[in-house]
Amino acid sequence: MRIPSFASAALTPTLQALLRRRWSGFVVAVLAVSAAVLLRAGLELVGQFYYLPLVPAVVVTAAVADRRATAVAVGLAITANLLLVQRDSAVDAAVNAALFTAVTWLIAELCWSLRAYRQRAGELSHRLAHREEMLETILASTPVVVLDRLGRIRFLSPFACTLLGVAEEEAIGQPFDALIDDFDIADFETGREALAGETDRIWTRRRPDGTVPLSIQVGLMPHNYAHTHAVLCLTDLTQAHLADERARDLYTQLGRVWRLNSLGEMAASLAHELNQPLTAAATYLETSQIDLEKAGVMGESASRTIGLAKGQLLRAGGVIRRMRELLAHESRGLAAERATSMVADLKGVFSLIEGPGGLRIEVSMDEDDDAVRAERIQFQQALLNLVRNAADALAGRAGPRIVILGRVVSDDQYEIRVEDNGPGIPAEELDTIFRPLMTTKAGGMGLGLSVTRTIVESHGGSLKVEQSELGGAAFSFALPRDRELEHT
Amino acid sequence: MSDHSVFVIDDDEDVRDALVCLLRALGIRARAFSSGTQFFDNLPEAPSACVITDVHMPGMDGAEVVRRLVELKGHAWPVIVITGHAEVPLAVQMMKAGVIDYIEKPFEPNRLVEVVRGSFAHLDDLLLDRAEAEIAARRLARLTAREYEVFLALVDGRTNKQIANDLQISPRTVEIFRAKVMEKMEAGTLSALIRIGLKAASGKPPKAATGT
Repeated sequence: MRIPSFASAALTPTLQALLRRRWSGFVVAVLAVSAAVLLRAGLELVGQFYYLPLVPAVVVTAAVADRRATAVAVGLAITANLLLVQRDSAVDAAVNAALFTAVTWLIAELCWSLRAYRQRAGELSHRLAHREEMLETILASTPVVVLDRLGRIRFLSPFACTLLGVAEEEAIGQPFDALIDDFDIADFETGREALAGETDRIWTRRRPDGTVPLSIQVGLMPHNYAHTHAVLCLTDLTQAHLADERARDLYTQLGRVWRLNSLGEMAASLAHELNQPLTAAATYLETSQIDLEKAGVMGESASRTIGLAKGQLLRAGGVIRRMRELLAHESRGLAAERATSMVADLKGVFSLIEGPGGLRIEVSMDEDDDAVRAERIQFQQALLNLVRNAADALAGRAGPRIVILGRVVSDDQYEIRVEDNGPGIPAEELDTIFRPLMTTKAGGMGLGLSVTRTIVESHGGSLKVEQSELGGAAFSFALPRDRELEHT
Repeated sequence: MSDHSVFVIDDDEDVRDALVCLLRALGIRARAFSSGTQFFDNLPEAPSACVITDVHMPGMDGAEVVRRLVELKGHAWPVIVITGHAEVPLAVQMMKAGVIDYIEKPFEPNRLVEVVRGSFAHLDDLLLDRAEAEIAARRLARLTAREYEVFLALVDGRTNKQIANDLQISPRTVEIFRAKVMEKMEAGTLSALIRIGLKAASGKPPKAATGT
């Protein structure tokens, strides 16, 4: 709507500001009426005018000022006329004054309502422009597609073009299901497919350069417009999928390392357990030989046989040693690593562990001085073992939390701590938990902590356990800091 | 062979029993302890002994036993480590800590016996040295302050004339002091005196050293 502009259109901003003052309306009223009286005096030369020249004075006042100033203008005009112009009778004067008041007030009211309309329209157009801008920004930064009632593309944002791998001009008018397999807008209308915010279905767009997994949030327009029926917001899930895949890969790799580690740990533990009785037996046999020597020639033959038996025991020891060497984890040696990056790799694996049970795994690491020497996959295995143990201990408890902390504790040690708010470890079990084949879990082999300790020790540290401030157990170990990496 | 003892520390009852049996059969005094803590709580009072310890034990481990023994007894209590978990880094760490041997279980018992006997021979030498040092120190303590000064000068290889000059006495007086020193130190020749002087120096510092 075009609003006729009154005086204000020509008014400079300074004048507008002046007019906003309360008293300025009255000044305008006085000036306008005075000017009109002068004008009428000039017009006296050509003819007789009574109220007519004063009408513009009131209208000008009404155009720029409020009701009170206008009332003053009307009052002044009437007073001036009563004083300056002699009328035949008081009735004539009164009727003219009343008529003047009615006419000018009517015009003034029109003025005011026009002003109010103009102001409102200004606000509305401003708001509209703002919305338009917001919409454009959203469309420019989001892949959005608008479909008509038949499921044909009516609009698509530049991002949507890139994501779908189509040019805008060839896509417009095409049915959307030609681009996305199995997509049918009718399914959303009938409720067979969930609308925005409730769906986790993954759609696929087959592009010549590969497949893109998509999440599509569908919103149906509340009024039934033919051309803009549904608004589709697309999300590219490629990155999320890649991250998932990486997490799964790492998980598989860790599983393999775990199997090798536990086999090695079994061998080591078996070797240790068998070596004890073999040592005792060989030593006892040696003692018998010494005793038999005292029997002289009589014992010689028996002593020789005992010597052979002793040899067989030592041979068994050799077999065990070889088996252990074969299964011992092949350390590729420690390399320069960043502790935060090694832990960050496990984020995906942690989210697999977090699962739907409300478990939260928080990581808080000192990122500035995190240069360490470590064997990446083995370190990750050790950390994962501790986290998984904590998760097992937290099963079925309220508000389960695991916190992984990393900080520098001395010039050459970076400490990793895994704390939980589970039941903790009873004091009487503290001595035995690290021993292989010791387990408190129904399905466990009792190798987790033992394997973890072996890994920690191969990093030159020792695995410690204490009470956590969170209420559960706190396992900690140190990695050797890599000072060289830090200085480069 | 003198009467050194062997102390066996192992958490495996059968291993320590077998070792004690073997050592006793060989006529060596032996005693077993089931843990490092038990050993240090009942630390035997012997001037010298050989200790055989396991590495992986609950509570105090072998490394800790070695560390505390070296700290408490020095070389007079040599340590032999036996382990069912042979690991190169651990072996290096133990040898650095001052153990005389590191033997992987199961072992040829004879080998352990050889090492024990070797440690005994070493201990004998050590004790003999100590005894001689003690005798030398005792003799040195008999010297007067002036005689000690002359003794130091002699051991330093100075001639009578130089000594007389150093101490501002006549060469004749030096002759007399020298004869007295030789007599009190029970040394027939100058080289014997020097040997006794070195022995004394390896033992405790003699009282006379503080004289003027």
